[in-house]
Amino acid sequence: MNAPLFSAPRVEPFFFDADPGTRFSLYHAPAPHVAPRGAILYVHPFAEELNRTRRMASLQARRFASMGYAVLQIDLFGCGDSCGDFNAARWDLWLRDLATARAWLAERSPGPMQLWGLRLGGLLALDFAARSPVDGIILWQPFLSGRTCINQFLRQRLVADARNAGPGDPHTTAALRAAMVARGQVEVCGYELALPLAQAIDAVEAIAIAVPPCPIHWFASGAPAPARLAASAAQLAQAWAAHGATLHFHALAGEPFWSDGGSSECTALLDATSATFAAAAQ
Amino acid sequence: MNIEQRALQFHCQGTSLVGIIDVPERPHQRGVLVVSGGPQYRVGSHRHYTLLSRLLAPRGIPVMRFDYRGMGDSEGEPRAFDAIDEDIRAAIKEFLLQMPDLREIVIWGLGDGATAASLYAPTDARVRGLVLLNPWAGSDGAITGPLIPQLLARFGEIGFWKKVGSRPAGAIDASLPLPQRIVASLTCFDGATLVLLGGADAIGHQFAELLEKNQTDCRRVTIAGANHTFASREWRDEVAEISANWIVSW
Repeated sequence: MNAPLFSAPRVEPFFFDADPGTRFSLYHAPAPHVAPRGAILYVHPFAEELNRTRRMASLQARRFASMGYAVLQIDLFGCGDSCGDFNAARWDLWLRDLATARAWLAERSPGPMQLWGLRLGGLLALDFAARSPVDGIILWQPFLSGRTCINQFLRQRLVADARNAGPGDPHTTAALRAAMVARGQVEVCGYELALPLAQAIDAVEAIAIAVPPCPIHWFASGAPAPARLAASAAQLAQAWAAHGATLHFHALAGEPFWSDGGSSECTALLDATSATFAAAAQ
Repeated sequence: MNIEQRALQFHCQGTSLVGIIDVPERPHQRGVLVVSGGPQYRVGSHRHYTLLSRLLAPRGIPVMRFDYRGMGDSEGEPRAFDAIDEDIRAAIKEFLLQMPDLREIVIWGLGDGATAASLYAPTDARVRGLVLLNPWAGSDGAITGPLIPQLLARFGEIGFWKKVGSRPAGAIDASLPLPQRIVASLTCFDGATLVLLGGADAIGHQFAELLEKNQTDCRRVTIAGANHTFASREWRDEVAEISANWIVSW
């Protein structure tokens, strides 16, 4: 009866004022009974991948919090529960949102600051870190090329159109890109992608980013081409070493939880991430 | 009209749930609770539910969206859509706690979220309306013949259920096949029901067949060309517009 209440760390959802409008955020306070380890700012994926990966982000955020990290999840402008239309979202606006979120988190947690990005969020985290140096970066199944991300996104429209095709519908990503240039935007499965956002994302390449001199942990499922993935990792490690960063590549066997129709949980990724960061503090 | 967005954390049987209420400056006494279908969290595919709230709230309709246990930002293990009655009840409790002047709840759901809403509705007298989008009636395929006569023997006279009023004896027998449970629930539910169907959605078509065979009393609107999740601005806006108008029409 008199035992202290060591309840699991609880999440604190809130809206904060940003420019423009408001952003929805979730703060996971670090567990009170373990040594604080610093802060982790989460950067979510693009469009519907944000929704599909919500559970995984939540599970890992809680694990980080129970290890003593202060974790902040923010919905970027035009995404999730934040204000704005998706078609008004811009890369620069997202970078500003991350700066605001980082400042908020740094006030609560004076320790080291790490970024944790999933899919396109990984690429956004890297781009942000080049402008606002951090103490570590965690990448979950990141896109290394923005153009690849946009092409994969556009392909979803082709798949949807194939089920319910109209006569004048574009049949290739090139045709969709042309339509986007002509109309200023293209609608893909309910998301209106604006040309300036697509162009900004297209222009980002992980290998060209001047990352800060910090450890970078890259967790990825090896399937379907483990040799190609390992070769990319070696190339990136070399490029980033020039900036003083150390890349740790963690290949694992796991479900593509970010894609449609699959399982929403990937225990192998949670376990690999938790093991890496539990060990890092020893 | 000014809208206040409240981020909430509340509990369902000891598990922490996350939700959001859009509170209009001059709220209608009828509020909307969105029950998301699976697997989808409170934002909805292509932000459908977030954008719906943004159309409803400025018209005075308070909207609450939440993640049930095991979904999105909420704690707990994932659950089947027909095992979330306690989550819906906890959300309604929180909604009324946040907005004490609220008199009636309309549950708005898509896919198996709509199914969950229809199963829940007759068990809670505060629920006066349902907006059901492409409800999921199970994978059993075509439904043969009217279900109601053979059902009456299983759970007694429908009049009995209605008389029980605010304290119904419980949910419809969960061992029945899903289409029968849905029809029985909708028949026992004495509130208003609006069914919105996507013209190009097979799941919606199947549900329409189920309703026709059982002469279930509800208003039905089909949105031409729309798919299961109403995945385009045009369809989404139409859904929101019809929902908003219907909710304040009775």
